[in-house]
Amino acid sequence: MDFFAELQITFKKIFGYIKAKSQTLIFLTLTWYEIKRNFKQAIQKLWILALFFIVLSNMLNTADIVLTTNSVLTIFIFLGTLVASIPADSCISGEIGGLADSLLSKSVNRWQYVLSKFFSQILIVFIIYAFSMGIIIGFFEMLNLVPIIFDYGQFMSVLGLVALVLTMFTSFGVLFSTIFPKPLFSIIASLILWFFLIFMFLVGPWVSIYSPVSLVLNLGPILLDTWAVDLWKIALFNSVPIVVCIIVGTIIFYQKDL
Amino acid sequence: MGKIDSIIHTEALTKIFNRKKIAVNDLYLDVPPNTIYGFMGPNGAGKTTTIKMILGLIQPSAGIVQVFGQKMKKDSAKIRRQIGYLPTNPKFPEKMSPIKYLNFVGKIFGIPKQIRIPRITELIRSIDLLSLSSSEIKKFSTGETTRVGIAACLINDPKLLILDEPTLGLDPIGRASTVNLITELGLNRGKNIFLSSHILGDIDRICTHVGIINEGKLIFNGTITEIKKLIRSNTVELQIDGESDSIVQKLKMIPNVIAVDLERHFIQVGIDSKENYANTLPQIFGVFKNDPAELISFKSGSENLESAFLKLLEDEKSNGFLRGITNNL
Repeated sequence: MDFFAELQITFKKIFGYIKAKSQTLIFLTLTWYEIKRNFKQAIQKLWILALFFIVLSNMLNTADIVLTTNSVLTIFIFLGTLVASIPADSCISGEIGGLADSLLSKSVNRWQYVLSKFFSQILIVFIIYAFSMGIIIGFFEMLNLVPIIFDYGQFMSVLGLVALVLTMFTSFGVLFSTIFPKPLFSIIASLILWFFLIFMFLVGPWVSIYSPVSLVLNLGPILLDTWAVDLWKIALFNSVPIVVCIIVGTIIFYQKDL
Repeated sequence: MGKIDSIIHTEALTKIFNRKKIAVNDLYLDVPPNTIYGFMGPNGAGKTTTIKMILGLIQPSAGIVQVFGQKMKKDSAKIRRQIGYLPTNPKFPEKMSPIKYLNFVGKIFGIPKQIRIPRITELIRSIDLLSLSSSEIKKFSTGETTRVGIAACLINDPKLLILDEPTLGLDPIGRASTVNLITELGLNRGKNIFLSSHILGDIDRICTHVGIINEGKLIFNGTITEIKKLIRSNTVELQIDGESDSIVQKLKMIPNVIAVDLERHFIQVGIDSKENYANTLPQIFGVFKNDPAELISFKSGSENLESAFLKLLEDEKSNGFLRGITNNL
């Protein structure tokens, strides 16, 4: 049996297992439903995706993987963080008084509902991000444009850190949607967060290794492993808020009257 | 589960929103088993807030809620497995069809596929949505949406159905079919039904028991017969077709009749006492013998739930006013 046939069987087994489990695990059912629904909505708003990929494709005009990656990651950090947090901002507050009431009046526990929102929103962002980056790497690999000295380990670290940044913004979006009764307030809160964490560091004189901006500004040194900063500190800085958002969001939602 | 006295039991149930608005005030409620319980009240009386507290969607400020003898909390998913809830103007994922939505709800209840699929088919048939089963719910009328909501309530075969204003916004045909469906569920399928409405005609037609809430306070809890007895008056209302003068004259001559008022085709007849009420009725009907005027309809003084409801609200208002004065003196 060749590699692809084995891979296919393994994937079928994994999906079969998830499908079987999702019938008994409410949390998985809700998460799966959310992912499907959000993808359908994303496809309906195809023009946004198309625009996004047109911008991305323009970045591929160069033959340098580092420059291209830098441009793409810049888009993900400046635009992706904003785009990722907007659907998250309305994912709970937009359903209160409607679908949330219907679901929570059935056999759904509040933690299952909130966690399904966090995980589905994060997974959607993650899938789109991984897909985009996969296309770019695939493109360069296919055309044999990746230099021999290219350090994939360092490269993956940067990609992972940007994924964490996107996850953090998404998590804050979901947290805001548990706090504020109207999606508009959550969007404003996310904009303020984006303004202070990203925009201010871009236009202002301040420098911080913890700002996502520093990742794109220092992509070259990171890939060459000459940037004298421990990447794990940045990873930790971005991971802790995600965990905090999930815990605080769940606690806040437990206090909420529907 | 052993025998329980009340399907729903509340004690001193109170909800104050933002420390400002008292939505429900010291509510003691008992819904006996095997009943269709009508929860009536004017708009803003606290019906939906009470229902949400019964379901654990809202945390009471004080008091307790028990459903099937167990305390209801925000995370009482096990109790809610036995409940079907239809909110006012139910909202569904717009892109879903009834089949997909019912399948999704069935999965949430953890119903195995071999039970879930036949049940969905049966429900789609029984709510008469077979022709629309694959259409998107967002294209449905209010009546069709309500029927999908009722089907979603029934997917887990619940022991208790909580329906919040199920006939609101429905046209007469949709309303009649919803009322029939609820009656069928309550009387023939043995479901306990807790139904909130401010449409008194529906409550009168469907319910065996009734609770009236006004400004967050329960002002009546009992059977439909009991509430009607409360306002039983010694009057009858006749609707006639034809010349009314001779009928009015004949009615005035009946011994125990003390008042006859004519308003268009309706004649209000007052009888002197409750004791003479039953004896006088045959004489009232007798006046139509050999008279060209025809009796179209007859209404006794005790059959109008609307009057009972308004009287109770009026009494509560005066009592509240009196209580206020007494407290201030």
